[in-house]
Amino acid sequence: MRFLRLGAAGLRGEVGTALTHQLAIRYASALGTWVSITQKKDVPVIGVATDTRASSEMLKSAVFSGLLACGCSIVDFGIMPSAVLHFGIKKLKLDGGILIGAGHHPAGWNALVGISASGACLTASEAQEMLEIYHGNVFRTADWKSEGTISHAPETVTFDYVDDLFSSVDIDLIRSRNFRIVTDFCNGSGSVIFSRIARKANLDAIVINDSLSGELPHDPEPRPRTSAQVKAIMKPLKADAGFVFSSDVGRVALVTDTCETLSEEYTFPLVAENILSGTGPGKVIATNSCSTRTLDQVVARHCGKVCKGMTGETYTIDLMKEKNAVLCGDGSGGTALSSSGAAGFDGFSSMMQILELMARRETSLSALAGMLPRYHIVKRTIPCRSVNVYAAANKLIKLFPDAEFSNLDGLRFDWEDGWVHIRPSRTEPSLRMILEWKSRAVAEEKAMNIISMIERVVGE
Amino acid sequence: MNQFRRLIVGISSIRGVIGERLQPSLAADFASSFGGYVGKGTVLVARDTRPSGIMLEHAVISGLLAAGCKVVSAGVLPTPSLQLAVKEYGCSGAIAITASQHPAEWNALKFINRDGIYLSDQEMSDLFDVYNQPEDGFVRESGFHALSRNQDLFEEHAKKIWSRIDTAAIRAANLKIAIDCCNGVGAVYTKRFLKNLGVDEIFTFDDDIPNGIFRHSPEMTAENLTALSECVRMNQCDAGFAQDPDGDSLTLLDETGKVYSEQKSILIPCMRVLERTPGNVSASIQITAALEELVQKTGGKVFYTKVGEANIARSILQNKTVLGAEGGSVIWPEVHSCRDSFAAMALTLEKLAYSKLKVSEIMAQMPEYHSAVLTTDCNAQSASEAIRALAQKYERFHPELFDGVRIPMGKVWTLVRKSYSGSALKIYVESAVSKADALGVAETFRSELEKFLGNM
Repeated sequence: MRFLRLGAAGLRGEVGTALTHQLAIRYASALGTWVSITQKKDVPVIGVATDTRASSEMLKSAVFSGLLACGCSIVDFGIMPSAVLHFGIKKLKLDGGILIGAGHHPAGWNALVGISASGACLTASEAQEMLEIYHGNVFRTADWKSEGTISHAPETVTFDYVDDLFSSVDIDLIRSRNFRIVTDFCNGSGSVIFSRIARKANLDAIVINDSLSGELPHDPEPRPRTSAQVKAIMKPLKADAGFVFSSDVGRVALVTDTCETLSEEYTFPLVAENILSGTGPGKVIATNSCSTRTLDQVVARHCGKVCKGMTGETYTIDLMKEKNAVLCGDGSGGTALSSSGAAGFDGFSSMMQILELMARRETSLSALAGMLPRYHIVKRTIPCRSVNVYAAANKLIKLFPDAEFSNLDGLRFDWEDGWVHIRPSRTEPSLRMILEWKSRAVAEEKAMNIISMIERVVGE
Repeated sequence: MNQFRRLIVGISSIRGVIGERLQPSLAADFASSFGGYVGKGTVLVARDTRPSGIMLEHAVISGLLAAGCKVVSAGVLPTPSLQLAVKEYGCSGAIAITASQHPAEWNALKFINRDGIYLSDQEMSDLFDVYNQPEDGFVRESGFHALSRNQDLFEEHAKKIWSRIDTAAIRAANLKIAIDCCNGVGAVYTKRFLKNLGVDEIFTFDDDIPNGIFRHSPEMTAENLTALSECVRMNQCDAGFAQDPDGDSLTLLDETGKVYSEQKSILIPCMRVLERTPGNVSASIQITAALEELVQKTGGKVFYTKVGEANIARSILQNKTVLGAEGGSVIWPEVHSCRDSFAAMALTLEKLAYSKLKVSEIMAQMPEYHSAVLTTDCNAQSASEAIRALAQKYERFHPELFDGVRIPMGKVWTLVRKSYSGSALKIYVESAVSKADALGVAETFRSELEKFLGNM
């Protein structure tokens, strides 16, 4: 079976069997063609950044050839966190971008993500236009005199990014605390710019998994189980907080000073807690339909409002803009601030917000986590071939007649004490089930029942 | 040119027009097939200065990486330096991105095997077999190797030439040379190469960092080299050298600015090799008869081959010859079995320094032949039949039939063969008598061919 997903979230798949250099050339040619049309440029300038996976260099060469062939110039960001590319495209006034990197995907996968001149991932309607060109398979072609060139992004763009990162927090307050933190970059791109952040924020940082080898030291999705390495060294180091980043630094999970590996679901509520502190009522926070109720309660405490939309980083960022929200994020551990005009989830931004919260409240991360209303959350992925996944989801609609039902995005069933959300993944050939309940025992039991029901339907 | 003939499978190469047929996906697919064909390992990639070279370079690198090769990107590099490096470093093969003397809008991938020589017809057909297989052999995440860069490969090549040439003698001769590299790879390397050989003063036209926009059509004909000729005369140079964009061919100008034909430009370096190491020679069937005379004088013989570097290189290795030649190009096997304008320049300069003669004076000692080339249109099928008919008619001259038909007739010889595009017959004639004689013979053959073709 070959795993490939093509959609608004980019071109994703298993390298070699599905995601090949041929598809990468085609995707880049389609994006370059789309950008030249929409930006009305003869020689559009496209920013490209990669993560550290072994196949990223191959995909980068393929993307470069595709972009040059359709008459684009390239600004090469090299190995760089996705947030810096999002920022740099706006800062350098580029016409678009392509992000190459597997992010939270398991070893063996990689992905290409198109970015518009706004610095954000393509919106659903932009992606539709671009994919029409991709599927039409006829691209703009430059002739032999093409003026397309390749240049390196100026180093100053990373300096500007860090300044921008600090502008949304009280950096002097954070500096004054000289926090000792542990960071885990999963051998991804985060360590490329982290030393500058640590130095300027006066962080006493211990960094692990910071080689740029692309070899995954653990599951790249920030989760309690992937935080084990950080957890193991927190106590001997007497660290104030641990941050476990995805390999593209979009997402982050936390480890407290008491060595609790917090669910990645709690990153977003803690960031929201900080953003909403001291602001007036009525602030809007954007998220999706399958994030923890903890967020709803944190926002309610500050008299704010939660807006829910489709699942996926792009949709959530779009929703933030549309609803004029101050913050967006989801249960994967990713957040983005509207104040910095963030165009993508940024784990460094989440980290700065949490450090600011610790500094303001003059308290520990464990104490802050202790104040959160907790639910027990169960996340499961049920493999299901792309061709069957939509039909399977449809069969599940009538699963719980007693629950409040919404199909705004996937299937959401709500009860007094908990909820279940089931939807086809947009990035992998599977169904995802998320379930949250007040009691751990009930949550686990319900999860087991529902998964066997789903598996029966998928297996039909 | 016919719109359907804008992608050409040449000898050892895939050549096409940029923006039309030679798209990145095609280049990447051929590269990944090549990576599989050579059995992975280290593959070198280099290009000439054409603007489209950067795009193709990335496409080729992606294809090779996807096939699981270790890729070393050598950037802008003469093709002979690349070929030599494959052998020296024990690589699996190389891809040169260059359309050589073809117009700027063309580019090509040239495939080089583990011996550092171009793929033969048989090897090319094996590569096509791999290319046309439906199952891909792309590697998974764990199978990727790193991409590395090496910008110093010319140095190895140059050192191998410098160490064999009497640079002290060249230095003592106080030579003044004008060069025109057509803003090709030579613009980056040739000036320093000649300085280190001991040339006293060098005049150039080329940009230091060439952008690949050729100042004139890259074919090295007298019409395209008027500026170089003028420069040689104005500055009273001892000689002028014109290189093609990827540095495998050389055209010679004498001290008066006279541009020699590609057949004559090779004679001085060939003579020098035969003086150094008398022996047998491998040459394309299209080569001037003057070479055979030179070889016979030193007691050697010529092994004729089909046209194309791949064929000459194989003859050199098989017959252990001391020299290879085709129009405009010299192969000096001591350095490497590939066409090499840098070796040709060095040998020419050594000859000038040792003989203490002017270029025109040395050329005056060479056997004199006059040439003529005519073409006649015909399709590939009737071309083959016409060639057979011609061979039958002139059987008494014992014609050679392995690539078209070559008929030696005393002071005159003629070669009739299919053009690269396959839609014409080319008639080459050399006569020791006069230019008019050569042209007359060529015209006779053309009307005979047209008669054959008309009767079909």
